[in-house]
Amino acid sequence: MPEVEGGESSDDIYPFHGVDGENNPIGPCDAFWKRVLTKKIRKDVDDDENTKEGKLLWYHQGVEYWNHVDATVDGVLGGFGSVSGADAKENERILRTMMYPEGEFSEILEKRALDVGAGVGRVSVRDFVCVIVFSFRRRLQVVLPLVCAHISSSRLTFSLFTTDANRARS
Amino acid sequence: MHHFIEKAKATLKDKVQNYFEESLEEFSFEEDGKALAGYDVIWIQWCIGQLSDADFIDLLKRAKVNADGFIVVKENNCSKGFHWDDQDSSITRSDNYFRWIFEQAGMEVVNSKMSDVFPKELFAVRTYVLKRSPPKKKSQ
Repeated sequence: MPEVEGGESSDDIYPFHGVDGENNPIGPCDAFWKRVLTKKIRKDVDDDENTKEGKLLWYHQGVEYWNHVDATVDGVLGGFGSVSGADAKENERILRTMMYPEGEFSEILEKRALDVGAGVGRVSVRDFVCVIVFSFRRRLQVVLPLVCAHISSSRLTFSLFTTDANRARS
Repeated sequence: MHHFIEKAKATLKDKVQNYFEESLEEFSFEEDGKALAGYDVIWIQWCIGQLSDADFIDLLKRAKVNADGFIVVKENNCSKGFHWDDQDSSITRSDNYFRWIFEQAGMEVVNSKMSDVFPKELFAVRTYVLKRSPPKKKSQ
């Protein structure tokens, strides 16, 4: 990897300004997050409670979207499954550079990796397990990105369930 | 999203030590109330746009990285500010926006690179390698 580049655009500073899907301006990020995360959903509860619910609604919508996506590489890449191979090669280069700066694989190290937002395990299977399987020695961990939240729309009550960490080999 | 992890388990089987099916914004780096051992690599790719700024910053702050370990964030970059996707409740952040987040979280960008392997019609993709910034010394 070359040295740090980017970050030069001087007029793109906090608070960052956003656009929606139609390229309409939606204002600065601080106000945006306040707006989407603290929706006045219920009048009978206080602000703190509404903030909790607004936040759950934001994540709930994400979960709902991904719930309807096929559990395939093409699905998790939004129809661009064809880029997965090139992506994996690039990731391999990054991992090699960072973990083996001398360019040698001779030392078998036990490393622990965490694949965040792992989806169907696309990154893990290509980059961790295949490429550095020896050095990682089965110490890979996977975490899904989002809450499994569901909402009962009629009463606007939320529940959140989080399963305990499952042991791969119990 | 349970179907994703089921697929991952079917593919990776016992090559993976732990499968956590937990919300990322609440993932505590604990298991059964006990802190997990630190990681050498925490790989975050194409998912962090789902998190709010506050949750993103908080995740980086509590991420358990070993002393010589690092965090990789690989994500789409828009050219300026952010793009909101109402469909999947996510945003795409600009390069400057990401760097602002990392600074807030006390992370240092030790390396970053723009991908050159993806089709031009897609968002630019940038990889950031992060390490926790050393604590600032108090000036006398």
